[in-house]
Amino acid sequence: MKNLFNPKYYILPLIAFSSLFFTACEEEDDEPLIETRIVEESVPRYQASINFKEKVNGNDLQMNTNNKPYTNAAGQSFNVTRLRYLISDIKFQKADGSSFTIQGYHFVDATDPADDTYMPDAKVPAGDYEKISFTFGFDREDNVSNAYPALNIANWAWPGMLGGGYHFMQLEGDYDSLGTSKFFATHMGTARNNTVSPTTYEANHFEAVLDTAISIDGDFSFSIVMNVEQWYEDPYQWDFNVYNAPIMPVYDAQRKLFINGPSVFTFE
Amino acid sequence: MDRLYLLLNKMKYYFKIIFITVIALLGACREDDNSDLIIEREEPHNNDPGEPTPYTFQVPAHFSRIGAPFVPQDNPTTVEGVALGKKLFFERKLSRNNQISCASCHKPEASFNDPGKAVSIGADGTTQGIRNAMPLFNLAWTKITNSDFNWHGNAESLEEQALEPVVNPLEMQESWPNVVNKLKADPDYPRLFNEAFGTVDIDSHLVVKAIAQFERTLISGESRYDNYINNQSNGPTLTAQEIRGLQLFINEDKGDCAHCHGDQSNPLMTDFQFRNNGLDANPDSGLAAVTKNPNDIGKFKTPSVRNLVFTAPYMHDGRFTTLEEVVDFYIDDIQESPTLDGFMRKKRELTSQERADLVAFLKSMTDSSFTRNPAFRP
Repeated sequence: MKNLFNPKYYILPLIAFSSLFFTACEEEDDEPLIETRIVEESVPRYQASINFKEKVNGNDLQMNTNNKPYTNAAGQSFNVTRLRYLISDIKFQKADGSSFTIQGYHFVDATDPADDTYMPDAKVPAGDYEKISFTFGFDREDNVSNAYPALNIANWAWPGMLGGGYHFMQLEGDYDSLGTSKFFATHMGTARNNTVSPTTYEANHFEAVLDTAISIDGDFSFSIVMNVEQWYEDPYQWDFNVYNAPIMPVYDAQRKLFINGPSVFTFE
Repeated sequence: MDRLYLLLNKMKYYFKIIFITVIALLGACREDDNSDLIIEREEPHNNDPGEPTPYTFQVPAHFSRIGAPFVPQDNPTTVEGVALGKKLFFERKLSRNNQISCASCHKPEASFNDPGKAVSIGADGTTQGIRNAMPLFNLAWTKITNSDFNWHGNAESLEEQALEPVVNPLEMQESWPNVVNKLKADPDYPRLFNEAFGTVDIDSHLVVKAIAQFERTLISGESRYDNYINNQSNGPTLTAQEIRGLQLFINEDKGDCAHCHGDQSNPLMTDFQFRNNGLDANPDSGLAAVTKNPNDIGKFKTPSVRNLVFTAPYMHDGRFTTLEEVVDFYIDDIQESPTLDGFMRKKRELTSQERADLVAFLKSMTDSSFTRNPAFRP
C-alpha cells in the first residue's frame, strides 16, 4: 500500500504552489497589462510626426525683434515677444464619416525647438483620410484645472475666477500706438461673461480643420502652421488699442478670438 | 497507532513548512510596495560599501500637480549622497580660511537666504558680493534642460552652480585643489565619499554632486496658503484679507502677479523665466552678461514668492527692505527701458487697502516647518 503521508508526495506540490507566489510578485512589477485593441489587428498603424510652425503673412515668425516688423489689418505695427499655445485631440476623418482621434495634447513654446515636433504615442491606422482636424485648446472634458503637471509647471493655468482650466494661447508683443510702444497680451481661454446673471463660463476652444486629404500607408509627417496675422483680421478686425492687456477677463475679446481662430491654421 | 501518530506529526511538520513558506513569500511581495519591513543588509566590507540607498523625496501631496522632481541621470539622489551633501553644505573647509560655508549665506533658519543683508560678505570678512543671496528651496523642479541658475542665469545645473562660489573672489575665495586636499585629509570624508559614490578619490565634481543632491531635498510647501489650495484639509488656512490678496495676485485686471509668479496649479510660485521688471532706467546687464544678447539686458530670474518673511531685503540687489515697498514699486515706480517686460508696462492700479491685502497674502506663504526642519540642519 502506498504511504500517502510520505514527504515525497508533498515536495513537488509544495514547490509548485510556492512558485505561484514568485510569479505573482514578478507579474506586478514587470509584466505590462495586455492592451485590448479596438481597431482590427489586420490594419497596420503608423507613427505620426507633426511639426508646428508659426508664420506671419507667409514668412516664418521672427520673435524679439527690436523693431515692429508686422502690421495688422487695422494698420497697427507690432512685434511678437512670446508665443505659447496648446492643441489637443488630432482627428483623422474618412469620407464615410468614420474617424480616428489621437487623444492627448501638445504644448508649443515657439522659442523652444523641442516643442516643434509632436510624436504622439498613439499610432494612426492606415487608410485614406479626407481631412485632419484638431482642437485648439482643450474641450470641456479635457479642460480640467490642475490635471496636467507639465502645463501646471509652465504657469499655464487659467484663473479659477474666469472659469479655470488652462490657457489656450499666450501671444504677446508690442504694438505702436500713435508713436508710443504699448504691450499686448492676447491670452485665450474660457470666456467668462459676467454681464449676465448668473455669470456664465463659455468653453472657448474650437475645431481647426486642415482641409487636406492624406493617405497613410507608412510613418508620415505633416506641419500645422499658425498664421499669426489671422488672429487679428478674419472676420473681426482687431484693434490693439481696444484689446491689449488685460483681455483674459474681457468676454468680447475672448469670443472674437474664438471666431477668428478657425482660419488661423493651415496644413503644410 | 504509533505509526499513524508519527505520520500525523510528520504532516504537521510539512504543513508548517508550507505555511512558513507562503507567509515568507507574501512578505516578499509586500516588501516591494511597502517599506514597513526591515530588510536586513549584509555589513559592508571596508572598501566596498555596496550600492547607496535611493533617497525618497518628502513631497507635499499637492506638489503632484507639477509631477516628480527632476533628477539628472548622472547624479541620482541617494541617502548617502544627501547626507554627504549636507555635511559639505555646512563645511567651512570650502572657504580659503575655513571661515565660511554655503550655509553662512544660505541659512536654513532663513529659508537658506542671508537675512538682513543686501549682499553677503566673503570669507575674508570684508569683501562684499554684488547680488543678494538667493533662498534655496524647491530647486528639484527646475528643468534639467534649459535651466539657468543664479540671478543672471550663468549656471546650467545645480551641480554647476555649486562649483562657482568656492573659487569666486567675492565669496569663498578658495581653489578647488585646496578644498579637495583638505577633504582628503579629513578623517571622515573619504569614507563618506566612498559610501555615496563608491570611491575615496574625492574631486570637485563629486563634491558638487553631493551638494546638489542635498539641495534637491530642500522642499517647502507647508504654509497656510498650501493648506488653502490643498483643499483646506489640514491646519489653518487663509484669512478673508489674505484671500482678497490672492484674488488680486491672480487677477489680470489687478496685481497680475500670477503670470510670472505662479498660481494654484503651480505651487512653485515662479515661471523660471528671466525678465526685466523695471527697477532701473539703465539696468544692470543681468542675463545679457551670459547670453551676450542686448535684448537680455536687465533680465533676472523670477524668484519664487514663497517664504518672503525670511528673505528681506528684496530684489537681486536687495534694494527694498519691506514687502510694502516691493508692492508699491510695481504699482508706482516702474522704470522704462528697452527690454522692460510687457507685464511691467501695464499700468496697475491698487488702492492702499488692496496693497495691504496683497502683502498679507504674500506673507501667508510662510513655511516655518521648512525653516525649522532638523533634516536640513547640521
